[in-house]
Amino acid sequence: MRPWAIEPSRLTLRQLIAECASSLVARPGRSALTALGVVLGVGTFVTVVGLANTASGQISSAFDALSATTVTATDARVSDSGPFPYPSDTDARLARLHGIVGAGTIWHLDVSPDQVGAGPTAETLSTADVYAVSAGAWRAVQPRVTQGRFYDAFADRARQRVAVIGAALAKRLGITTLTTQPAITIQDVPFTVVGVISSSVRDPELLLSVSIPRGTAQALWGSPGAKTAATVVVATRNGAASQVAGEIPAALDPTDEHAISVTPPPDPRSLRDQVGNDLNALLVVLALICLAVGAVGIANTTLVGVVERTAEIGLRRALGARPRHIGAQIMGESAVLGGVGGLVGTSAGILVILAVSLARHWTAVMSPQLALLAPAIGLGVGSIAGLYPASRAARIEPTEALRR
Amino acid sequence: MTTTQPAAVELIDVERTYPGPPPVRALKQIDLRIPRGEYLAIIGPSGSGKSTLLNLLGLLDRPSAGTYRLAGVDVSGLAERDRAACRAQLIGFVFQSFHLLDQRSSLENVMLGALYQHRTEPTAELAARAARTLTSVGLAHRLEAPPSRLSGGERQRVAIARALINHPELLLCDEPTGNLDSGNTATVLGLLDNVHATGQTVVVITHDPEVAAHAQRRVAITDGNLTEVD
Repeated sequence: MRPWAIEPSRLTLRQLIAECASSLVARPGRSALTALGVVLGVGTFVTVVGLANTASGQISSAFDALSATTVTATDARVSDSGPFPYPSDTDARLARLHGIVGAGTIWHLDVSPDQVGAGPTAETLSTADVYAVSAGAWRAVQPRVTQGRFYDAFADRARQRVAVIGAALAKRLGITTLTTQPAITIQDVPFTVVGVISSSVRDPELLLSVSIPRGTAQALWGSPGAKTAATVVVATRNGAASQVAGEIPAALDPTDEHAISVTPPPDPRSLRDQVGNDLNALLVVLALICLAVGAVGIANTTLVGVVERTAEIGLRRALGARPRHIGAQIMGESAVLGGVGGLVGTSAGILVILAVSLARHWTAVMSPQLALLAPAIGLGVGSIAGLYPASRAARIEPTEALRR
Repeated sequence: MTTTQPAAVELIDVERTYPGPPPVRALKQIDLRIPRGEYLAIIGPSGSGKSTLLNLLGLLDRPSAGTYRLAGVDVSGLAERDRAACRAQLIGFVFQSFHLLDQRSSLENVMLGALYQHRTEPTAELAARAARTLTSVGLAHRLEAPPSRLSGGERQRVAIARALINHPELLLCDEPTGNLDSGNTATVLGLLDNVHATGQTVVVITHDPEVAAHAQRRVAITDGNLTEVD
């Protein structure tokens, strides 16, 4: 029973916020430095999460463009006893499948390097590989031609002695123009260079190599053995890869679907998630450490502030404040610092993401939830950091405090 | 008259013992009656129990035994929640070291006196009231000045205005001129005389005879015992 018609002391939320703001503004330098910890923590958090999102966005778009439309099939023979699984009309058979942009056979020819040379007088080359590349494979590999052209299916069928070489190799061989119809020899067999390629999306190996028609290679050096890893490279339309991968074995050999093994592309979505998760987990842990350091910073400075403001706290108690009012104010100040730090940190983090994305020509990926969540994290960190100083402040005895 | 109107303060057999070891009896069976509107000085050297008595009167501390009636109501057993309410509405403190907030203007410091009141009034209204109170202590021209730009006497007048803004039952001054030179001491004592003249109950705790001389009545405290002086 209260003996008295006196209502309890009160501090409205509006008054509390005004008092917190007033106390923080009174010490601008200290407030800014205190909030800096949270600025860094939240800024790092936003930056790493945003950059992880942005980077995995780039990773997946790279996969979407290339890997998702590439299917490769490899020779599944374990010994040379079985028949070579790619019939001579492989290109044509695969081209009939829906969803295929281009398909062809590629294998490495077992010719030793010093047997590659440019013209009868040129010195021999020591580091050039020779590949058998069917005419259809050019549409799958999609290299860029800087001079001349690719040989076509006719050259393949007619076993013409023509070659397409990489630009780097052409430079080393001294071939600057194709108008003179330069020739190179492989094991003393002359080949006319008909094309020079400068980039290759699916098979960069070809840039340093000599490519000759598949039929020519088979006529001169025979079908490849089981260990040469002859492959079929298939470029598909977007989204057709999985479907096409299932149809290839039957299209090539209806009697033995185990003659070749087909590698469908990884599902880009699961791949992106996996990469993203690995990256995010690590970086989020780092960001959390930053936040923890920020929280300790706020807690420490606020605690020092409580000790410095003992007299003020005593005065407030003498003016009628209850311990909970004192605690609420200290915690409120800490929370406001955390919240403001979180806002500034979020802004800084977004700027960093934008800057990095601009510098790398990436598309910045930033979830709106993160932009809203991050200041709230700052607020939460500030509140938690203020718990202990607030409880200390609430326990200060006014009689002791006012003696100062 | 005393039968119809309760005294502002009534202490009956009040004891305050600080738990040991060894226990210290800071106040011993104090009896003190302060009628409403009186100006009382409590005199005593340091360590005599002055501060303990001040804390008890100001409801910052509780008596170990005895009864304290403030405005006729027993407050000796109140919980902190109710003591805080009484401090907010019934008591105005004036301290030796002023305890003004450096970063706030005189007006804001006086407004702080009403912050924890149960009834919240609009800021503009409160500011007007604070301005009137500052005017009444002769600082109408210093409303916006921060304490750092005020003289010691002016600072104490701001503190007195802060204590008076709630129209307290009891104005409790702890060495109000302890940090002031003689000129400022005279100003502040004159102001306290004026405040008392309006009917305000004033209690001043001091060791300075000049300050005590302004009061209507003087009591001395030595070793926890209270005696009337004359």
